Amino acid sequence: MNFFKSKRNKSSASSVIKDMNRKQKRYESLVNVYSADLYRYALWICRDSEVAQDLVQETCLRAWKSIDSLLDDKSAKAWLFTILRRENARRFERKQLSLVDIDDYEVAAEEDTSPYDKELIQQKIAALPTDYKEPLLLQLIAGFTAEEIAAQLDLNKNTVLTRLFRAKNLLKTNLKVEINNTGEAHG
Amino acid sequence: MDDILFRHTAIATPNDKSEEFLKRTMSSDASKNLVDESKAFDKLLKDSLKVDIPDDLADKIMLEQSFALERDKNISARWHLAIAASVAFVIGLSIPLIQQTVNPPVEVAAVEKAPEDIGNVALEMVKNEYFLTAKANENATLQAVNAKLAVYGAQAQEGLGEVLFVNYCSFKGTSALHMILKGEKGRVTVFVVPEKGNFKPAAKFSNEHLKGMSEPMGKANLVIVGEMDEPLEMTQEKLRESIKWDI
Repeated sequence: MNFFKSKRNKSSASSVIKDMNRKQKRYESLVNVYSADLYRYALWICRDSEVAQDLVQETCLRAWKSIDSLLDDKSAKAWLFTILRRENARRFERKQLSLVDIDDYEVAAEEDTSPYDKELIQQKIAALPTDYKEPLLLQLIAGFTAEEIAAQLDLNKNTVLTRLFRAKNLLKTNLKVEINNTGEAHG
Repeated sequence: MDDILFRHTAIATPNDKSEEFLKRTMSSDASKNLVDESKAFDKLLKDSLKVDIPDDLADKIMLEQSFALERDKNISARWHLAIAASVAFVIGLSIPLIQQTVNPPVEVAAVEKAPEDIGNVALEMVKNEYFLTAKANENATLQAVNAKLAVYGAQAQEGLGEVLFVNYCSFKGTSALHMILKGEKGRVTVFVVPEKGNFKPAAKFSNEHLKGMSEPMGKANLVIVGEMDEPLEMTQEKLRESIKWDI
């Protein structure tokens, strides 16, 4: 009787360890696959590398704590981005950060005239209103479909499509204006 | 799919996989160009968004996680420690309480307060040691008795009678001599208690089985205890005659 008992205890203990290892492996793959996208997204919404890293750290820690509640790995990405966005919102609850002044980003814009200048585009993206910027980042960084973005932001799909459309049009217009302006200046 | 919706979809989500959108895309060169342009613009934006990632980001996250795990472990360990400490604390508190309720703290109070009645202590000791000494018969020699009595400044002579037991004992914390003599009817217990024991003197005392008497002798009190029908005065007389006390 005792023999059976101890044997059973042993096997249940080893299954706990196995379970822990499985959990750890799963977590590590999640981090490896998604940390880069999470970081980029965080950086684009907070514009500070340190803060972005902190946000990703926090997000991953939270993910670790509730990784058991994640049933299928397909929803992992949406789940992680939801945590990240919530963490970011929390950050704003904790302290009112000084808002990024758009003008700061426009000062340096004059120098390069290349129509596909990366920095210029980055400045224009950073300058987008949050309502347009967020769906755009979720689409282009995280690779979410319009439906997935709608679920993330708690909007309906048509609103998301409209915002993406406007965001891109706005960027095109701003970039054209910028290029024309600098062209004239050099002309 | 009308023109406006197509334009919207082409710009907002050029990678839309719906059949309707794909069909409309292939319907004319113009719409195909629009979608291609839109895809190119998306790619341009995507490339611009691709900022460099700190090299060690994933490692840092893992490290942070291992720290968090360790912290959790420590916290739970501290939690166990706290429980253990609380239990120990409660036990520590309750043991004196339990002891007090089991044996009311009469003795403790008496030691601290008034000196104890020498007779009561003697009766109690005889009672407690009864099983130890009832059958003892060491047939102690006068020499053995004197060796012990000397500590109390006394010396015995012939005439003490049969000494069945002689030893030091703790008389409520005071080092005393415990002797058992053969009396007229039974055994007679004699204590020699130094006066520094500071007991309350009691010339005569008794309980339901035993009686006793005490008197100061030299620098000690001589306490004699015997059974009810024992003529203790005879023992007392014998002791007075046969023991010489230094003054």
